[in-house]
Amino acid sequence: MASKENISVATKELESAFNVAEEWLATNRESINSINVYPVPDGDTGTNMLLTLKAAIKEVQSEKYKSVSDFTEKLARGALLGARGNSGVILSQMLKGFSDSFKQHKDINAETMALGLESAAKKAYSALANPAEGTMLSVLRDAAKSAVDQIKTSASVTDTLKISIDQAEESVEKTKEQLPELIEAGVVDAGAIGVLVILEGLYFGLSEIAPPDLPKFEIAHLNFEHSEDDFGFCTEFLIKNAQLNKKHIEEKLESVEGQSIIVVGDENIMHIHVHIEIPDNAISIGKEIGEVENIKIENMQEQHEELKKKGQAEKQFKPQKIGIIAVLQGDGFKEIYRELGVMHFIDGGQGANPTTGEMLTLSKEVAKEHCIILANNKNVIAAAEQASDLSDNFITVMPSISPAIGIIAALEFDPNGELEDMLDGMNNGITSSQSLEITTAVKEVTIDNQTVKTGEYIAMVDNKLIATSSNLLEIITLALNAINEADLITLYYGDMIDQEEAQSINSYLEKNYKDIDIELHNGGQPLYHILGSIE
Amino acid sequence: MTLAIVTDSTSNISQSVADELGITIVPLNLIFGEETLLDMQDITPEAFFKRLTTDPNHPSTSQPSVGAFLDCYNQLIENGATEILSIHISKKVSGTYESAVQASSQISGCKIEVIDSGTISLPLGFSVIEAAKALKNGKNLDEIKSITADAISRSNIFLSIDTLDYLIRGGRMSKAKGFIGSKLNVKPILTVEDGLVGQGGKTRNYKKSIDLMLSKISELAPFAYVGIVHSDAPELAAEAVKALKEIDSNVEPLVTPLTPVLGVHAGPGAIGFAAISAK
Repeated sequence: MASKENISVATKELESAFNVAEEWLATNRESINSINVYPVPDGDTGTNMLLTLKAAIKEVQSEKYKSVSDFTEKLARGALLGARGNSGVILSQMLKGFSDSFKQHKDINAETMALGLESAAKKAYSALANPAEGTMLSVLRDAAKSAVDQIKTSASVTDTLKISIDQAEESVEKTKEQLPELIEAGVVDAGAIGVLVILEGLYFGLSEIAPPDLPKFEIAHLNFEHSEDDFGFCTEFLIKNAQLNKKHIEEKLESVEGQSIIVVGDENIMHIHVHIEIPDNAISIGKEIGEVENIKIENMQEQHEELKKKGQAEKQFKPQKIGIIAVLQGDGFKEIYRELGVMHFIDGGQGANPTTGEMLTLSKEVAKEHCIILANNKNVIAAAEQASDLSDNFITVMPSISPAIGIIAALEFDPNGELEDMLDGMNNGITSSQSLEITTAVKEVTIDNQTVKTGEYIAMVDNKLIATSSNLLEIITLALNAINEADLITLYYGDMIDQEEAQSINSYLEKNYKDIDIELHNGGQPLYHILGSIE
Repeated sequence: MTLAIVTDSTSNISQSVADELGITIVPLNLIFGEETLLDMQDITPEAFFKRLTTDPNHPSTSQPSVGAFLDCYNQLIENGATEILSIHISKKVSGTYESAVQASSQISGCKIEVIDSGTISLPLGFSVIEAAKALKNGKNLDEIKSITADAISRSNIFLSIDTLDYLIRGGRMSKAKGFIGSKLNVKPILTVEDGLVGQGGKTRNYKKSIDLMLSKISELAPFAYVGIVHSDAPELAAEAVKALKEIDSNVEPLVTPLTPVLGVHAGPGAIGFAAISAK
């Protein structure tokens, strides 16, 4: 049965259509998350809409409903109570508007569906202080308008949905040109797609078509550029028995610099959504005017950082007052350096020396006043020093002899700190630590009067041979036992060691070296099985 | 003239010390879901840190209400106070000072001076103790005010915390402040800068944190007051005492758990040193 020819559908069918919509939204969730750039690129629009829809559907499943209006009312109530995020709150308002319209209509038919969509769009608009074009709001409004305009030509609910979906497709495409954030990112609005997906889901459900297994579009990897302070906390809560009306609450939230403010519901239960630097400021406002419940606070900065990692976008910082560049190889190392604020790398290390010119050029791009270069290899120090000489005091070279040692210096980095103090701290860190290197001999060699066979492991501390062995665990043990005193030993394993092997090394260390702090991390460097720092 | 000294629970002064020195403590509020608890009165640090890790509600904190200060001031006036010196947590991190100021403006017939200490925890507590001692020694309000300000200017605190999450959640610290690597389990060390919580360094393990904090706090030696605060972790505190004694075997630090309200922002696993240098 491809489409229903009857005029009305039963409430039960609408319920199962919502279930299909949930399923279809779940399929598209990650894709929607991946293009979420507006109003804040926190990558959770798909998740928030899905969780809100789930909460709505759960409410109708837990109780028996008597009529269409009873069903839609419960659905809307569930959404209001469970709404998450900007998009979730707006979706809950759409469902509220949809439900309001069914107070007057007993049947679900082509006409009432169109009017329901119209009412949904209106309600959502009224919830927002400054509704923007190019969002889920404008898409539903356009879709509803088409449906209402063509009520006469629609014979069934599925016809109405089809008309609204066709229009929504068009409007979604248009969002690309409607908001600056979307223009810049070259994507359509995530929430808008969410609305389209829900409409499609309802259509699939009522037409008894199974929705596709694959999302509408692939997960996008976007590059985001934002200053660190652009994000606050997404703060949400419910206020019961509120003593103030919506407008006043909005004003109060604005007075504490809240953004993306959404206040919905009535005096019995109000749902507050706000992006704010200090979540407690918003919550105290809530407490002044009623009973606060279900507080949710999410760090949008963290969400954003997560997202960046997911997209593996190499974030291009605007030049900082003090910049820093690390010369190194290995993805594991890069990840750790990034967490410490070192975002720029020059590929280099053993047998891969970067040029003076490369270092000079990049330093000017990343720093406004001064640039620090972590040389991270004995052979790189000279070229880096040369860059420094040519830079007119713009570059300072930290003579770290491995990326493991460079991390000790990177720990002191603060782009807005005092340069002299920072350089002192870095130098102290480097000079008070020792470097450990474990690799294999590529040919038979004699080091410090000791002959090492090809393929044998050698361990060096500060470039002095301290042990040889044919077994990796044994060489690590020999090396660690040769170290006299240490507060903290950090080992980074190379790209020739897989995770499983690393895990077994780690449990070996945990078992046998309980008295010293030893950490093992993924460095991902070539040639060296282990690079380490001894502090 | 009868002068009374008031502070708030973030001073980390214990009730027994307060009783002994005649200090009145107004508690801040701790909120778990719908439940509001008075700091140190309704909940002990021990019970709080246990609950912090088990309660699904993340707690928040709020300043004492204007009414709480009114009650406190009126009670003191009823008991004969004609002047009140109310010394409080930095107004940049809490609204406590504002509440106290508002309450004081509603009271006539008693001179109430509200002071923003610009600091927090034991540096505040030690300064208040110094004020109470000065009062016992017969100093007047103006003298005590300058003695307090002087003590605050010679104070500092360094607190090593396990994670910045708790602090950021309550908006007590700028997120952009420094980079904290989670991969390497970097531990930030906090201090008070210009009335705000700032970063005093970062280290990678417990021993290094203690070393760094000790080297910073010993810049204040010889001490007039020295203390150790912790997130209800007596064993961490005992080690910190030992480390402090290795530097100066004569010191007897005051060891105290962070009050629940401070604990909300520091989180579990915090340990720190606070001191006021001798003149």
